[in-house]
Amino acid sequence: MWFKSRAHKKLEKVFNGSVHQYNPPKPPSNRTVQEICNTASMPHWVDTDQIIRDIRKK
Amino acid sequence: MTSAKSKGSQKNLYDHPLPDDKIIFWDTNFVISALFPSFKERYENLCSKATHTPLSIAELEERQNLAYLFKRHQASAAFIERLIQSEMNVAFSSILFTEVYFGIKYIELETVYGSREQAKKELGDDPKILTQHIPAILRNWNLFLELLGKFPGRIFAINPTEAVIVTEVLRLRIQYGLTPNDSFHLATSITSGCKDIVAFDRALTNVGIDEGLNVWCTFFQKKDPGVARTPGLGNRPE
Repeated sequence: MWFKSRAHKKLEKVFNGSVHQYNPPKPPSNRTVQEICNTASMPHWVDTDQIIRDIRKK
Repeated sequence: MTSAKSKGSQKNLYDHPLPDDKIIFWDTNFVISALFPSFKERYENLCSKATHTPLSIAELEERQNLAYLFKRHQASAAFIERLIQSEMNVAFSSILFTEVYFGIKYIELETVYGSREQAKKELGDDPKILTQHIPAILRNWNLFLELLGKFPGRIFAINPTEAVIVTEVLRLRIQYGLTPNDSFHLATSITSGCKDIVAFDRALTNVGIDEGLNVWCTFFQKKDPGVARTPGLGNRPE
């Protein structure tokens, strides 16, 4: 369990019990963000914006 | 005497100092932008083709769009790295998890079936087609979790259970006609009392600024040659 940071207390003050602190199951990886993102390979062009817009139309 | 609500501002992912209260909200579009450099290959093909053949108008527009999205991907990934280095706290509405799942699923299907329409048709005809895509979807989902894992103890998902959030969602829906999901993201950010959200959605950005938030949405660097810094979120070619 992590100690409650100032940010955590600030959010809890407003949202009471609705704040869920995400505790990752594993220790942080050594890979950089760029390395992580480069692993998400996609062979074709995809308009990620359009996908989000479609999700939000529902 | 009532004072008019002061407007927020646009922030640049590279240039501006991070918020003093050490909390920043995320919109789903930002996470998806950071995760997927999908357009690089297609962009490079078009650039390569342009060296020996004039591109059609449609191809030129596509290349411009791809350049925008690729820059945005780079900026988003660099911004996450910046947040990690500065030990920032990240908060978002818990609907982000569902949206990221849908985003990852459709991205995977679209890469296989060529177009979004075809992917939707295939899925509608037979949901069992998802079976063969489970490994790819899970792989990308694990990358998303790996990103979250870079913020140990500093990720806060806010469940939209408080009446104050729902009231704000309804107000945003009525006043600005925002989509429900946009409204949830923005309402959570507004009611938190924090001032900063990173988002690229045009409607969400405009409303956020009107509501007094600092919206982190621009990412062109001063050193970028020949790239105009247009006002508004209009960095994206229409």
